[in-house]
Amino acid sequence: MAKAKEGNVIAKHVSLVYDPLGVNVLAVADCSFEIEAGAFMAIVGPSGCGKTTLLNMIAGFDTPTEGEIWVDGTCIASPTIRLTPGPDRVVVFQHGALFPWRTVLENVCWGPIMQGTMTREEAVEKAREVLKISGLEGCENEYPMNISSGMQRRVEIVRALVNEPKILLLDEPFRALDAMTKSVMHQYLLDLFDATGKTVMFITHDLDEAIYLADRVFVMTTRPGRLKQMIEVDLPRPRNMKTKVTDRYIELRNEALNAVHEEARKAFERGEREMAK
Amino acid sequence: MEAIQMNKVEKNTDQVDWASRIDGYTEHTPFQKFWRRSMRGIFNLSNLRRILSLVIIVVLWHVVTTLKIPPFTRVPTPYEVWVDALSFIPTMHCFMCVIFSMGRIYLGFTIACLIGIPLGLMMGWNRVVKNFVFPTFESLRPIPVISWIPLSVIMFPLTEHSIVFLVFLGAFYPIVLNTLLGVESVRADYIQGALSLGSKPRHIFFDLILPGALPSIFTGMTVGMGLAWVMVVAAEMVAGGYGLGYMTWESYILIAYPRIILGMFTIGACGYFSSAVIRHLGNKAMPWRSLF
Repeated sequence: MAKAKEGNVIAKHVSLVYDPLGVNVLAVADCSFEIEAGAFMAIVGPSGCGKTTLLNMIAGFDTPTEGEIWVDGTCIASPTIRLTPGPDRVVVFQHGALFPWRTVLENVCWGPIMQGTMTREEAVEKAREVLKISGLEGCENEYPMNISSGMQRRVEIVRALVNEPKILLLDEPFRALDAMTKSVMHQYLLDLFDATGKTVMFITHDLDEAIYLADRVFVMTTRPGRLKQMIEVDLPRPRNMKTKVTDRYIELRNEALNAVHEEARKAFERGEREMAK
Repeated sequence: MEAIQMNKVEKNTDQVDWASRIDGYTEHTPFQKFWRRSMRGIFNLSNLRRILSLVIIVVLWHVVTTLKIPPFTRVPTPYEVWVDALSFIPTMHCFMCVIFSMGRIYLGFTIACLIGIPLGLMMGWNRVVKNFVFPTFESLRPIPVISWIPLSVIMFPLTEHSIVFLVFLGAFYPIVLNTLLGVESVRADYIQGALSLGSKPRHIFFDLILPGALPSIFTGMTVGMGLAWVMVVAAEMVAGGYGLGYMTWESYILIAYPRIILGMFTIGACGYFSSAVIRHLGNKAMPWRSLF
């Protein structure tokens, strides 16, 4: 399944200024990082720090006001190049964006059929295959409302994967799940990552999740979001529940915790100050 | 890829039939079970209360009219209405009244849907269209549709046309407004998700906006149908011709009081029937919604 690696993402001094109501808000300031092809990077930071904005810029929903984003050696977004969203960089959203009016199978098939890359029969066949190896057999003809939230998430990741994206952009996909389902989904995502070798950019505010899943954790400061610390997670793969009790894991977690906690407190205090004004 | 195989939960197939272990338990046939269940579905306390409420209202009506308590002095009793219904409902006249009113509703309502739904969709989809249409629409909407009656009689040479126009107008506003609301209520996540899957505007329109707006469209149609009935009755009372509204008004002129009540009931029944048709269509069009 592992092909020639593609999906190398480089961000060079990326900034984004929002301009709602004429007041400039610097959402992301001077972020530079590289995600190697086939690597798993997690972005952690306090809420409102511009994590999602960063992801939106790579997805093509926002255009950076400064800096450049390069994918596989070509500059795809800069202040002068407006990037449009495309199936090579599929996003999975925090609240879930499965279309409720389509069955699971139709949802999964929708991308390839609509793009015209596959015929209906091919798409259905491929979708069934991917659903089967994801343990989603038997619910193909259910509507998304009738399956559990964990299953919905899995379907959504499957829907992204059938498009053969270079990069999988996950925007807090497991936020709304309970702890049990979450741990199952972590294992699923890890297995999937090991099997497909896609580049993954994973946004979360849950440190454990970030360290457990990622090769590299990018800790952001409060708004404006800058690079606070880059933590290389050298835990061996494949990982499983036992990884979480190794000494190295706890060490990394402590390191990250200090960085994030400091920022979270700053964000909290500033929030109070803004309220007091 | 085998690594992704999830641990599937084994279904517990060896279920114990606890009921059969109880002494004196007798197995029922499937038909007996079905019969018991359906009887329990019909004759239960909730349904009894529902029927009782209807009975009470008829009894109250009877008491009030036979005792001639004002303002019910000249209101016919339920029995008089019942007798009149038996003699009137089988006649051709009654049939024609229903057919005429229904026909006008059907025509006006269909035109309202054909114009209103696309207009609402376009207004929600395209800001330019909304900028052009919405101010006019909103400035005409507060005018009660009934006040259009004189103007529409002048505008159209045939009464038939003016009645259909009024029905159209009644149904038009709620349909457009709800369709617009439906388009605007489609979650931005769906659209972003679709864009990131590589969709073009036409896919977004037909695969997201349209189904996303459907629940609201059907709400608009239900409300529009209610107003269509208001308009057909009002227009028939003024403009005349056949129809249930005309029949009800004519009964007043002819001092056939039981028939007024009968006309009202028939209008109510027809209105209920039309709403039920729309509800049924809605359920057919939106199978992903278990309740509508």
